[in-house]
Amino acid sequence: MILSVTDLRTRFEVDEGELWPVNGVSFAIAAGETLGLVGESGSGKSMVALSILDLVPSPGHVVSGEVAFEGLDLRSLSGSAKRTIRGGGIGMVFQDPSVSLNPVYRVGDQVSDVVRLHRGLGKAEAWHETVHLLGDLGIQEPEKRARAYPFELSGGMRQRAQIAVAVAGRPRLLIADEPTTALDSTVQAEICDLLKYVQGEFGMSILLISHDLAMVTDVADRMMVMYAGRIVEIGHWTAISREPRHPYTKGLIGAIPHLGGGAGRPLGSIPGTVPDLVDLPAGCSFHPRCGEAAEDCQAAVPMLEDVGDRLCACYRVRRGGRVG
Amino acid sequence: MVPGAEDGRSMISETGAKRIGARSPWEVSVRRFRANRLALWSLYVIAILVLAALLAPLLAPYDPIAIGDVMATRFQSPSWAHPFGTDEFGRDLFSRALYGARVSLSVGILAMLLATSIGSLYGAVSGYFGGIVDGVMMRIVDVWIAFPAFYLMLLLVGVFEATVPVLILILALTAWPVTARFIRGEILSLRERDYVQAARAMGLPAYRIILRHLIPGALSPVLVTGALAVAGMIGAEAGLSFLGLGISPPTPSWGNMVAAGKDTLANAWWISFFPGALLTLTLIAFSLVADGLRDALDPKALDQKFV
Repeated sequence: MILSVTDLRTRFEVDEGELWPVNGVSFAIAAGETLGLVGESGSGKSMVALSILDLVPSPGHVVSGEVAFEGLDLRSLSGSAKRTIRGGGIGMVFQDPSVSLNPVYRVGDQVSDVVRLHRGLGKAEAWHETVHLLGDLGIQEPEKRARAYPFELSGGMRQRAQIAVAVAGRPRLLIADEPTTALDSTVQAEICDLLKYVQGEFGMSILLISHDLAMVTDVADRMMVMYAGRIVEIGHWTAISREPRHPYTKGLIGAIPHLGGGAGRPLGSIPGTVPDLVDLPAGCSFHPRCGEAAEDCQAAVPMLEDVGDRLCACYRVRRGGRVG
Repeated sequence: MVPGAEDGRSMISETGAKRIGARSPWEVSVRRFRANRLALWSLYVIAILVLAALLAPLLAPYDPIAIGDVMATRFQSPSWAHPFGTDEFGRDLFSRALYGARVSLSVGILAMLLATSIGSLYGAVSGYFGGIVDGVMMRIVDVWIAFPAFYLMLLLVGVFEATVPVLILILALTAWPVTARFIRGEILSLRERDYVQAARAMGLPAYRIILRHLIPGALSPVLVTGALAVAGMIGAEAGLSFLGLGISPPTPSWGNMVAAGKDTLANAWWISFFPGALLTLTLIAFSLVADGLRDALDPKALDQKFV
C-alpha cells in the first residue's frame, strides 16, 4: 500500500459548534492504483485530500488518525520532512487551474520551481525538464507555452500545465481534486485521458476526487462513496456501478442520466439535502433521506463492514444479500 | 502519443485567438496610467526633478555653499543671472535649490524604500503565519503606531546628529509599522488564494511562498502607498529641517531654505518662495502619481477602452 489512512478525523470549530468534515475515514491505495472518491458537495471529499497533506485551513485541524505514506507516518513528521512529501511524494491537482496557478508568473517558472525544489536540478536543467514535461503532457509548442502566462492559455491547457506542476516533483501519488469540474465537457474527456496516461507513464497512484460518477468509473479501479464526512461504500468500480448496495450510492447512480435505453423514464433524485455538518442526524447520517431507514438506523452509526465484494456501512445491507 | 495531442490544431487556434484580443494586465495598467493626464504630467515633473537633482553639480551655475562678496550679492531678486534670486549671504538660490532637491528627494525616496521593505516583510510574515505570531507582531506594531510619530522623530533627531542617512533611518523607523499593518491585511486575503494553497501543497517553504507568491501579489497596493509615502517623507523631512532639527545649514534642503527666508519674507519673498513652491510641486506630483497608480492598477476598474 502506498498510502493508508486509518480513522482520520478532522474537526472545524465554528461559532455554531464543531463539525467533522472527515469523521473516521479509513482507506488504502495500492501502488499504481486509481481510487475514486465521490460524494455530493460538502461531503468532505476535499477535506480528506487536505487532511492527508496536513493543509487543512484554519479554523480546522486534523484531530486524530494515521496517514501512512510509503510506511512513513505523515502526521508525526517535522515541517521540512512534510514539505519533502508535499510535491515530492504526493502531488496535488486542484479544481480550477485559473486560480491555482499564480497569474503573475510564467507557466514554465511555476513548473520548474517544483522541479528545482524536489529534484535538485539547476536552473537551466530544470527549465529543460519543464519544457520536456509540458510537451509530454500534450502541450503543443512547449518552449513557447512555457513562457506564457496562465491567462494566455485556454482552460484545458491551463489544467495540463497545472498537472505538470503537480507531477514535476515525480510524486508516487497524485491527488486530483475535481480536476475537470471547471472545464467544458470535451476538455474533460481529454484531461481524463491525460490522467490515465500520466499514471501509466510515471507509474503513479491516483486519488481521484469528483462528484462526477461517470468520470470516476471511467478512470478509477476502485471507488469509495462519501457522505457527511464518512465513507459509506468502497469497492471495485464495476461492482459498485453495476450493483450499488448502500441506499445513498443507489441514489447517486440512479441520478446519472443515460443515453438511449432509459428515455422517458424520470431521472432519479435523492429527497432532501445534505445535512448540516454541525447538526448531524443521530445514527446513520443518511437516514432522514433514506427510503429503507428503520429504527435501528437512528440508534447508532453503522460501521463499514465486509459484505462480500465490497465494504458497506448500512444496517440494511448484509453479506451476500439484503436482510429485512 | 499523448491523448489529446492529435487535437493540437484546435488548441493552437484557441490560444492563438486569446493572444490577439487580450492585453496583459500590465499593458492594460500602463495604458490606463498614460490616459490619466494629471498623473502622466506629474510623473514627468518628478522625472525632471530627479534628473535635476542627479545633475545638480553640472546644472548649478554657482557654488551652493561658498560665500563670496556678501555685500555685493546679497538679497538680489530673481533675474537671469540668479533665476531664484540670492539669499542673505549672497548665495545663488537656484543652485541651492538644485542641491536641496538632492537631499529632499533622496531622503524621501530612500526612506520610503526602506520603510516599505521592512514593513512589507514584517507584515507578510505576520499575515502568513497568523495565530500567535500574528498577534504578537501586530501588538508591537500597535504600540509603535500609538507613539506619536512626529514626537518620536523629534526625540531621535535630538539624540542623533541629523545627517542624511540618519534622517532616512529615522523616517523609515517611524513609517514602517503603517506599511506593515497595511500589507498584513493584504496578505491575509492573498494567503487564502488557491495558488498559495497550491504552492503549499507542492512543498514550497514559507519564505519562498512569502517572497514569490505573497509580496508580489500585494505589489500594486504597495506601489500606490509607496508613492504617497514619498510625499509624506519629503514633507516630514522639510518639517524637521524647517524647525532646525533636520538637515542643518549650510547644507541646503528645501525645508531649511524655507526657514532661512521666513524672517525676511516682506523684503525678500523669493528666499522662501522658490523652495516652498518646489516642495509643494513635488508633494502634489507624488500624490497625483499615487492616485493615477491606484486607478491604473485596480483590477476591478475594468475599463473596456484599455483592455
